[in-house]
Amino acid sequence: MSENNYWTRRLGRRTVLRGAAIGAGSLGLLGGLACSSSNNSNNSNGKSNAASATIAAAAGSPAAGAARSGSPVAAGSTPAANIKRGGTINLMADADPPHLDFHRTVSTPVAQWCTLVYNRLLRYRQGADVDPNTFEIEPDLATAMPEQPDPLTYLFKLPAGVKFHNKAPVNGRELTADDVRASFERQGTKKADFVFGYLVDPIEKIETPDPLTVKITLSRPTAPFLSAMAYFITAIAPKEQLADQNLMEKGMIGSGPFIFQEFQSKVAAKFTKNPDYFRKGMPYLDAVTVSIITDNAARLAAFRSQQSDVTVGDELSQELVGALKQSNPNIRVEEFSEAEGYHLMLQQKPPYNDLRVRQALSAGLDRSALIDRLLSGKGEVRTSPIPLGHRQWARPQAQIEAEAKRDVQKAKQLLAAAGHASDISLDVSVSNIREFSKSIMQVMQEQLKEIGVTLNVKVIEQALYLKQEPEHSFDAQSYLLRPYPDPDDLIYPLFYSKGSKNYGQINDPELDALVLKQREALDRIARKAALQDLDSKWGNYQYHVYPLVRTFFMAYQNYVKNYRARNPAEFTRVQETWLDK
Amino acid sequence: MMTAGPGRSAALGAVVPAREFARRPIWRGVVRFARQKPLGFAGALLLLAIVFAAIFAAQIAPYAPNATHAKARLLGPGARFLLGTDEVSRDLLSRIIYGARISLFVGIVSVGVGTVVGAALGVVSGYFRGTVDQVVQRLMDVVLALPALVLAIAIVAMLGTKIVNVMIAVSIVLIPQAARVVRGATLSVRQDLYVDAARALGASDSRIILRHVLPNVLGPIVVLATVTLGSAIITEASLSFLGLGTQPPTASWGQMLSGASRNFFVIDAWLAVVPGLALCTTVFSINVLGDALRDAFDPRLRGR
Repeated sequence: MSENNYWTRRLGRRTVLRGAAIGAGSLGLLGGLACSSSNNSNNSNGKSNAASATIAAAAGSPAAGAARSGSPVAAGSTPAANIKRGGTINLMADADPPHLDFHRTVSTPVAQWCTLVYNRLLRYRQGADVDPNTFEIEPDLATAMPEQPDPLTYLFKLPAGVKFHNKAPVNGRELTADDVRASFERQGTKKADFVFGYLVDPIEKIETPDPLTVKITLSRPTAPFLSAMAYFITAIAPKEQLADQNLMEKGMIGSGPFIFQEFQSKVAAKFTKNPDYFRKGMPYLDAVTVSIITDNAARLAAFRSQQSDVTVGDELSQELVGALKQSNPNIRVEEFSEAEGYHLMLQQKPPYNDLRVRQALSAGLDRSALIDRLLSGKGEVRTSPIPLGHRQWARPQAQIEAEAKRDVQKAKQLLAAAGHASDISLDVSVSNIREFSKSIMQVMQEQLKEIGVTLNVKVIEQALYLKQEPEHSFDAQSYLLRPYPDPDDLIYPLFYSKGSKNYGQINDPELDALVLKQREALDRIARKAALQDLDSKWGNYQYHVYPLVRTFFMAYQNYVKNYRARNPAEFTRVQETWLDK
Repeated sequence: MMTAGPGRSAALGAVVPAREFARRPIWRGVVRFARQKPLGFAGALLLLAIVFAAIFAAQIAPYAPNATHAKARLLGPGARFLLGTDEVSRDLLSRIIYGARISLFVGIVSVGVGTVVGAALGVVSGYFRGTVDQVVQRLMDVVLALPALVLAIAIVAMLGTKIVNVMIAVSIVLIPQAARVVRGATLSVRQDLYVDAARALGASDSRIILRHVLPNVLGPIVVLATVTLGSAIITEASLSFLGLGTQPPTASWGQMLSGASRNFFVIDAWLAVVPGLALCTTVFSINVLGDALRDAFDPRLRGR
């Protein structure tokens, strides 16, 4: 007994060394976290600060990358020491992309794959230390945050030696400022199908004084410009590929951590490790397979049977998370407020071009009942464009709850005042692959019947559904936006009269002015005020009717380490992920 | 005066005087049927109960089929909701009862149309033979060459997902079966003496078909219609399951087995069991009734 007595036991040399190593490792980890937090607070205000965060600091080495992401590896150990290299992570996509030209499709899987194959100048922070409801920006391809000599000019520096993937016609050549210019120029093509043109729309001029410097001059101050540079679609592709439509549609050639290998429609896309990736030592995985499974139940089954390592879409709910945890207690589940979601998009034609009719639709909704019936209470009411998921910008929820109260009498009066005392009918297109969309429309149908509005739910093929948007060939759509990182993405393209996703054909000069005001407010506080002003006045516009914000769930197998996605549409941090099998 | 010929079984040319059937009181026939074919009789009773529930759904169902209820998502069976609720907080029992309307309506209308069209083609084909027979039968071959469900999916995909289009699709799938069976029976009947006699007396083809051939092939038509009703209901359910049949929020059994509810089968088996059982019970009752009717119409099997 006495030999094992804790208080009298002698400390051995190895014990002392082990303790010191653990202590030093923990201090290093804390230091890394503190530095990253500091960088984030500098970068998160939407202004372009003088560069302080460098790529080396961001994720230049495996240790730095892992420490920065605050990996969910065993506590008290240096993550770098636990990294296991190799293996294939199995991910999922919930839709089948029509092609791979990321400038010309809103397909979520294409955005996901962009974040594997391409780099952007900047990117959003993610990781175990990052609140999933914050959207902070850090350098990706750029060596640091851009210099900003004046409010309209941004100077990005590129690192030397970044190579594109070794595929024809690029064959592993170095990435230069010309590729950045070519990428933004193509993205901004003035054609209807270039839906993400709005992100680079404010750019007036792109200069490349040397191969590693990009000088961007804007035509007007644009608060979300840095966010646009970090957006998944604002990827840097080689100019040879950009010039060839066929290459853009059939393949992906980037400088990112994974090389695109193949895409089989309705089956899967495959990616392998880029051995020449400019972040040395990354990625840790050998390959990524993304199975295309459009059916919620099939995706859930794939995750339960470990054919997939991470969930991706609407397949989880509160009840299913409970069941999953019962059958596999080791899975990790993240829940966070949705940064966007389903809402009713109305076409501006009679009778829905009458504000009173739109207001009646909103007043006729019992949002609390929707959350109760569809989400067992796991969600929040929503009445306006900026959802609770955008914590930094959203109005206090109490304000929204006050607006969300159902008023059937008022709804009927509004309809009567608009000359619709008898029943009116509204055809709502719903994509066949969006089960929640079908469910929410059924309950809305029941509620709106009480005010004399008949919702005819039309479930149509996803391809046809997407085709309706640019053709404006719908009365209303149950519209899904993925979580966009900047609130401007939820407003400008949809409601600005010349917005690239103005599918409802809105043309409202008053709303245009509010949209531009928040866009051009460079001061963070002023912008927040402008955004909240627009949001609080939404009752005067109601071009889209917002019902609720869901609590979103993502589940990870227990062996998936150092991966915490804020956004299921983004796979950026897969490069820092490893499998502990 | 020309009268209908003797009743004839589908399989053989055995003759049972048609008037003999007509003279029997119905209740005695029912009692005899129940005694001789208890399973078929039970099927008939079950089917009647389902038809009754479908007709009086509004009176029987505890709630409206699309009504959602507070604090009632994914509940199991209980006092408030006898069969539990679905993922949209709707009462499963009410949806099952209303779902019977869709299944039976689509089934009966489709079988009616498919059988009438198929029988007409079969009678014409079998009666006239020759080129008409060749053309009709090769057309039927083409339709039969495609698996029934695949053909139905193709038709609905072309016409669009409406309940009317589902009925059209199911009807088209059923036409060749009816045409084949009725053609066989017609080929046999047209050689009977009373047909020759009618022809010798100068009766026209249309009169012979309508007055002498059709009444004598009605037996197999009735049996066929009963047997195919089950498969028609299954086809409708399959199309709805695939998202091509009835559209939400209309309650139909196939649709209840598909869509968002499938995601919750792992935690609430009732979502699958309830519509599945309804479908199985209905099709089972129709099939045993069909078997019993076939036996009843077949003199070789009568009394067994």
